[in-house]
Amino acid sequence: MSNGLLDELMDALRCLPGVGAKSAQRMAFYILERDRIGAQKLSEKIAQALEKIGHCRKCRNFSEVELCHICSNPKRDSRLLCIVESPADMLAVEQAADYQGLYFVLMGKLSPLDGIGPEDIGLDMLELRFASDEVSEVILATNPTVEGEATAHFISSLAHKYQISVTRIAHGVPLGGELEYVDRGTLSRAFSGRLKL
Amino acid sequence: MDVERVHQQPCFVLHQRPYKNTSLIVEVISRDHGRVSLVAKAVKQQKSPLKSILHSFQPLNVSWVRRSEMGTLTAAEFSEAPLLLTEDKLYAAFYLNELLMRLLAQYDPMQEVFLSYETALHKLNGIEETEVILRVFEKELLQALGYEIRLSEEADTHLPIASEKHYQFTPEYGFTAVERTEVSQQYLFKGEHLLAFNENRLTEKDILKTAHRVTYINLKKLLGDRPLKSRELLLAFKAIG
Repeated sequence: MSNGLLDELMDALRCLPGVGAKSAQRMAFYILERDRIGAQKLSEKIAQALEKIGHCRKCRNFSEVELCHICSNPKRDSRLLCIVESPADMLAVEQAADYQGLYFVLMGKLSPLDGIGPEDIGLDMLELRFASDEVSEVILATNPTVEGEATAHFISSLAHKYQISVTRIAHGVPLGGELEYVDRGTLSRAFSGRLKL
Repeated sequence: MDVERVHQQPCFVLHQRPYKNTSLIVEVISRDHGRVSLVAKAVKQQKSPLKSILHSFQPLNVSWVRRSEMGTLTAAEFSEAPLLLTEDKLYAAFYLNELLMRLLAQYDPMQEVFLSYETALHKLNGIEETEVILRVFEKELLQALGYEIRLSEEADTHLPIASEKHYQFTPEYGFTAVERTEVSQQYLFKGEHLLAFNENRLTEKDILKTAHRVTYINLKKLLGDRPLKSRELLLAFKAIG
């Protein structure tokens, strides 16, 4: 027997990552039985966010305003541009590194076998930014996967075309790690990217 | 179906896509079992040792168990030192993977293709010219798939190809001797270039161009109209530099 709205609610909740039928059922009962106020707030916030949050015109990150708070901050060094794959990566860099430059969020990575090419991750927009003469150094913080590397090499040659210097974040042995236990792939990367002391 | 248990099989990852929250579906080309789909469970969890191993273009030994269409990966490790592909070599490697994903059927063992692929990746890790590596791989792949291009003899007369003559190419048939003016440039080839490609002597620009035209015509027939994204990417990359 169908429960109408209740079933529809459970079904809707399953659009969230990691939520299957069972979790959706638990969530639906929880908000109806125990936290109707919280659920009300959640539904309002989702509606507002969907309506108001778009992409920053400059860095493509999520933003309520046309220019996000980082891009519009005059204290930030606009000559430095850090390129990341996702908003979560940007947040990680922002929290970990003492970085005062600007960002460009690709919202993906080059992945030819999934049909994702340069335009799909905004590289046409990035090139316009390179051409505007504002950027003098690009820091490539894409992930150390083959797709991340492919993305990094592509952007690096775009940047070189405009005589912009390019650096890539280092990959290697984790802090507090022991070489003996580091996997071959990581260690080989760490070796090829060794630094002069 | 019986349970298939495969232990430490030489493999390369061709592609991977997310599956459920923390797992991956990995497509590999294996030496003895052809292209295989495997579920790699919990790889995306922070501590999974497989996270740094299951990447494309790396020589791996993979073990799996298979009861149905899709197997479950049970172990994977590097079989030799990892390859570090960069720039156009990296895009070329994507191209090899896309070709194999499009042209190889699953669970159809093709050892020659595996060996050609392995050789091509190792060469891409070296200094040899990318174009040369790709053309030789394409030729070997076509041959393994049953679309061998006979570069040393005429299709109709079976006479050996002569270096001073000109030839017309007909897909799925082969080369026939013609007068230079008889056919359109697109299907016209010089004998000496064909013989050089036959022996993988891709030392001159003109020979490389011939090799490219020959393999392109043949691959296009197999691939149909859907373009190869990695090929577009490789060309876009070259256009920048």
